[in-house]
Amino acid sequence: MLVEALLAVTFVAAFAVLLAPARYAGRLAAVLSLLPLVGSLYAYTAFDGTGNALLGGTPAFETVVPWVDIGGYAIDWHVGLDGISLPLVVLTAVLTTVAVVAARGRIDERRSLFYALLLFTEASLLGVFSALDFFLWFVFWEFVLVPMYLLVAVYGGPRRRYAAIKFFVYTNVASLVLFVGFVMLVVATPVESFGLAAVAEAVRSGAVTGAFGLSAGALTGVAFLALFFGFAVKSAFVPFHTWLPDAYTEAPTPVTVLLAGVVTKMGTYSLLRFNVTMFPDLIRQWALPLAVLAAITVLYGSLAALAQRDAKRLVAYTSIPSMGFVLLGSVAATNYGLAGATFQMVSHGLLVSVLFLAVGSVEDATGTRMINKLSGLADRLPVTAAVLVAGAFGYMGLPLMSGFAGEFFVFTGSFAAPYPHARLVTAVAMFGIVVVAGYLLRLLQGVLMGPFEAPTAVTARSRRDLAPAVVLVLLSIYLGVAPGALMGTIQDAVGAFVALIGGGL
Amino acid sequence: MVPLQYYLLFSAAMFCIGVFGVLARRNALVYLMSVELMLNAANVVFVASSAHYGTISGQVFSLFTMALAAAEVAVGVGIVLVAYRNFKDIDITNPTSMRW
Amino acid sequence: MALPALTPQYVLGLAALLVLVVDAFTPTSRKNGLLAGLTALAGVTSAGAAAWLYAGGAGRTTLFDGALAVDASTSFFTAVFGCVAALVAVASYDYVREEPHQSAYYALVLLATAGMSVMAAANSLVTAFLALELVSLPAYALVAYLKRDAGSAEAGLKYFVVGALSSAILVYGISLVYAATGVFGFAALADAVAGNAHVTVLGAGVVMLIGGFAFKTASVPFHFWAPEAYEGAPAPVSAFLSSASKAAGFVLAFRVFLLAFPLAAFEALGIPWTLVFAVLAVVTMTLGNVAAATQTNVKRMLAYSSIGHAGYALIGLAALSGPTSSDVAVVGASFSHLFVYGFTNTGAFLVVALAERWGVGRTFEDYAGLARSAPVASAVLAVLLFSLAGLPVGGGFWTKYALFLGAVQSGLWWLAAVGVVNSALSLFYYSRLVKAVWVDAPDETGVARERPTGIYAAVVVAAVVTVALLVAPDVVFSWADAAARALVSA
Repeated sequence: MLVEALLAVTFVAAFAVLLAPARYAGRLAAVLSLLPLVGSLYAYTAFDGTGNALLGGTPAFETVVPWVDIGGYAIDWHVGLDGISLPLVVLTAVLTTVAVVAARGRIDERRSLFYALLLFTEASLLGVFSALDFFLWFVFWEFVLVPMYLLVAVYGGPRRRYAAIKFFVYTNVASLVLFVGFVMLVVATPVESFGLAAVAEAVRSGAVTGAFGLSAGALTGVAFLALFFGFAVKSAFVPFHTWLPDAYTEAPTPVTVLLAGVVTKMGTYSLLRFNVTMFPDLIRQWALPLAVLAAITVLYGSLAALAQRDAKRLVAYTSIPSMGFVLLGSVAATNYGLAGATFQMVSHGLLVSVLFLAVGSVEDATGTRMINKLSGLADRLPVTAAVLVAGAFGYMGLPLMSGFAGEFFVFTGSFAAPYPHARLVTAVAMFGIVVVAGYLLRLLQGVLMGPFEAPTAVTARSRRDLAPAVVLVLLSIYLGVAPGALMGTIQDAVGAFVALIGGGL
Repeated sequence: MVPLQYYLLFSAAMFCIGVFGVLARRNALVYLMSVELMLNAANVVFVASSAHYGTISGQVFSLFTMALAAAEVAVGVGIVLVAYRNFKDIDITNPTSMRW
Repeated sequence: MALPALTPQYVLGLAALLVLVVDAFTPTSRKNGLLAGLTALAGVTSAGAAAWLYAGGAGRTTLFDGALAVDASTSFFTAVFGCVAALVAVASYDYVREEPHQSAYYALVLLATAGMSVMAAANSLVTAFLALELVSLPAYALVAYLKRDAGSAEAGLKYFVVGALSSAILVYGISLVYAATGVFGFAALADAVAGNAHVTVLGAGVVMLIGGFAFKTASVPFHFWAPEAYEGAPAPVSAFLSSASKAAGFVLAFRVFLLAFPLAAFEALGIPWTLVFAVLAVVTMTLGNVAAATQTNVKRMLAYSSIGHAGYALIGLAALSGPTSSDVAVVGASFSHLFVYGFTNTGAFLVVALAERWGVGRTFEDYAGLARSAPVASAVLAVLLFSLAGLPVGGGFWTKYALFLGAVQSGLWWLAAVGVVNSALSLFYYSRLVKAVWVDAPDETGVARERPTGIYAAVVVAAVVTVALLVAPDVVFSWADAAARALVSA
């Protein structure tokens, strides 16, 4: 019942905040967002699931209630957490609280609605990560879209409408394609339920039959590609990434934190759940092209970031290579690859939020985000500078921060991957880290070092504003020092899959 | 006895005349008359078939149709009047405040 | 307690008379609230009675020598009509407050609703035609209700012109079917069409019947009245026509084609009418959605989207294939779509009624920034529109999915594909309105909007029911399933 309680509390909190007067909405939202945070931390400590929820494991906090029966297919309310979803649930709760706190003083109109939408997004995200039935998952998946659209479209920067519409159209087309693909797949199998575990079992055991004028193999392939397309858009793999820089840049900082920190993780998480776990054969077969796509995503994302003059846009582009690493680890389908991918999701969620918060703070203090207009801020904004440096170094893979651990796991796993040229592809992708380091250092150097220069007088915001970023940095260091805090449960979940398909490290 | 086919052909001709009137005439009252013609074409079929099959139900239906035609004209003329008050005309192609 | 099988119909008819009687005794007093309350009460009571009858599970009751037959599909659709009529009546309380002849307005709404619930019980072409006219005649008058409003008069005229033509075509179709078979009762027709010798006459009659139903359901080829009528009519009447009247047309079409014209017999005659419906479904949904996407007027956009939804519901007739289980599934999906649509679309039109009352104008631009001055109505509108589009924020998600799945299971996956593409297109224009309301430049900030209680209550109820049907769709699906079973295996 814990998952239901989390969802219910968060949805109720969203409505309570919506009805609250604008003056108190922020404080109320901050307090109420602690409830799911505490709940998710409790879930973390009380977690007793074993194995992979889709592969016969026992998810923690599982409930199954028959929901509706349409056309002979049972659709259940089926939720539960396993080692892959648990870290993301905690990440969601942490980053929502961070976003709510970070919104203080940044949002000055329709505040009740803003905070309510943040909490509504959180609730939907929790649903996405805990749902174990396709329809339930899809309902929450689409739930995320509407508040995110409004958050960008109503509260964003000057080009917010364009960015929001682009985001909405891209992700909706993606949702539609993946929905159709998955339903086609289920119709072609003899299962009579949309439970993810049941479908995974049926697909793995080769129960797919030909339908829609396609052979069984072709149909499986089409479904795989449809799902992959859906998740690729959401996680912004090249060439489906173009919505991302616009949306990240135009969204207000707290929304960017959620968008970059968690919403893109929906895509990679679902990629892991659906494409990898349900189609072990295809993931083996198509590992090379997918890994090449991952490498391209890494390189393209980092090179594109090099060309940015807007600090926020630059940070937005840094997200793309990170998602590329997640894809690289996922398609490797080895123990460390998959676990590393999951770990990297959490780590990236923390670090990219730190960077966006720091850049947001710089923008608030100076009134601009243009790197070439800023210089020597380190003296004037010491705390911001420290946070920015910490976030950037974490991103570059400084040992003892979570970024290093995540990337290290991914590369270890990817090197050991069984597909041809795995080492070459991994090495190429690793080169991306060098580029990332290059432009992040350029950002630090340009903005923080040198003689002071800014278009307006610098007005430092109160230090409390950066408190959430400091907390995230500390979390990142904690995970970097003791990755076992998460890796144990993650490996338990991915291990079941690796054991099944006989992958290595 | 005249075979049923002749009645059917006759009623089809009536119906077609009605359709022609509906398509060609723009005066609302003439339009209404054309619709009446189409309804009466149906009545011919009802009565003829009723006689052909030796059942009474078709004739009853034709009575219903007549009553309904009267009701329809009542409502229709009312609406035409309302339209006339607003547009000062009973040409049914005239009111074009909304785009077709 | 065993209610008479026609209780909902009696309630509606008597309530209509009662409204007129009340008016006859107090012709001068202000009694808008009383009349609206009576109408809403009658609607809710008839819906409740229908639910009661369904729960009683009496199976099929034939009355008046087989002229009417009450079964689960009757009660299902009567519930839809009753609920929509109640919502419309509550909203009309504010909408017609300043208008003359209120008693006529409410009486016409009730009479039309009574006609619809008789359509849902029709078991013979005679009662079918009479009930259909009992809906049409009040509907003409309702559309033209705002006598001094040129738009309303024009809409009424156009609606009447097309309606009169289509009812003439329908009667002629009935007469041809009668000429070929010599009977009117559905059961007798089902026997008489098997191996019928007059295939041409029968076929022509069936095609004309389809034309008549196409008018009532606003499907191609008799759809073109809908944008005019819905745009010009008073918004609650548009809501009533586009939801309840459309559903009534569908239930009658389902009854006629499932009970009187069995597919197997017609395929043997070489008239596979499912094919006609498949073509109509594709053309209707595509035309409706494409046209809706190009509109600048909100009411017109909703009107075309309502044509699009008729196309989805037609899948229920197009995807019949023979096996009882899959036929029940697809017909049930169509029924539940009409049920959810009844609430969702009524709610959407009533939000337009609200906007008309505020005088915000008719185009998308006029709605810009409405969310600032009217957040509740705007939130409701967003929920309703996304549900119409098939996003999982309302019951529309399940019913669309069920429809397309039903089409796939009957082997018509291309029909499902067209439906999916159309749904995607519909999201485009629905979200344009949501964007206008929530995102676009605010109108004069801080403008105080009056809060008409009736319309607000109606739209909030519509939205709550829509969302509730996302959470608990089984209530509707099981009832729709029973309704479909009553017709398919009758």
